[in-house]
Amino acid sequence: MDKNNKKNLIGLTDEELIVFVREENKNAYSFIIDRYHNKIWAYIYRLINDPNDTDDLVQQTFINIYTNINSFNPKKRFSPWIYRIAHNLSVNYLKKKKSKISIDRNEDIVKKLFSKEDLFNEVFKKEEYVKINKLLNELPEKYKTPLILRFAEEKSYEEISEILRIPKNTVGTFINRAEKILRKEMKIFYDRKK
Amino acid sequence: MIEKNKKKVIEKIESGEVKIKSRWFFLARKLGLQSGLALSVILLIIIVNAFFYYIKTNNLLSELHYGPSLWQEVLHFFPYDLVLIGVILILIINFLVRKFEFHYWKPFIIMFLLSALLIIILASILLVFDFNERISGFLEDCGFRVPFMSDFYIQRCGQIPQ
Repeated sequence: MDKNNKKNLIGLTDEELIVFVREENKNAYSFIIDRYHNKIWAYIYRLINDPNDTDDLVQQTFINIYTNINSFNPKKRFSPWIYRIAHNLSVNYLKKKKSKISIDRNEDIVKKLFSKEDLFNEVFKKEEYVKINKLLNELPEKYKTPLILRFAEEKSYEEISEILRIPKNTVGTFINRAEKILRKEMKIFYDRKK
Repeated sequence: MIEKNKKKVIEKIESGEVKIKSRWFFLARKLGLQSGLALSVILLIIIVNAFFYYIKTNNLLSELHYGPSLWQEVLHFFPYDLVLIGVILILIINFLVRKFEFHYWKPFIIMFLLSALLIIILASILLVFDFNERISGFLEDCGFRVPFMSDFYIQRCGQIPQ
């Protein structure tokens, strides 16, 4: 691909780039990988917590995107589609391993959850970190993924709904319930300490 | 990391190990799903309508007023096979609907209730417009046995001793 072509491709939206790959030049697929690799890697890693297997799943995600590129509707957004494929691969992987989603080391989530609370400074003391991580991991599985997508990946409710294939209102309900559970448990924890 | 993963993916694409699936594959899949869904819904409407017809022609609802022995009779003559076919069709419809993108737009329970209501209304319309009488007449005149249907319309509907 020459330099001019590359420059033109940089200006394309994801959806336009997908159309370009399937109709004009398959080599342009590397641009899709460049745009999404880090985001998808981080998302899968947040779900499965294993760096080596994350690499394999990331590769598989991009292979699945490529093989199914003709099923993508360019009138829709590309981002939820790629996240959906990554999500499905991760969930299948976790099922095979008989393990659960682990939200350890997700400081983004904790920061955003408690940013408006008077508990904010308390939560970031080292000894409390163990507690909050434990609480996050004890949440029902169905609450964990919306939390990750909302607070770590910064997806809108609409995008989360498309990725997880659940109604938008349900996304909101899951996130609110998870927040309530966490805040309630943390308050009980601090009240006991006092 | 990105270079390693990118290299592996691109290598597989360039070697031909990974290929883009044809548009026809997805089109055929979509058409198959849509026609399968339409066919299952039509069959379910006919089954619900046949259930209503069976209840109506055998007076099963009026029998319910006449005490416990008739309850047993009603249970004995209840069209379990229709219910079983209906349940199987609902499971198939549920499976097919989940393959479409629209299934998560509205809460499942609302979609389920609306669909159930629509199917009952359409089945009742068939009942009112003598759909079953026409089928029954056709089966009696045609001179050959249609599996399940001949038995159902000729032998079972309106044949329970009152």
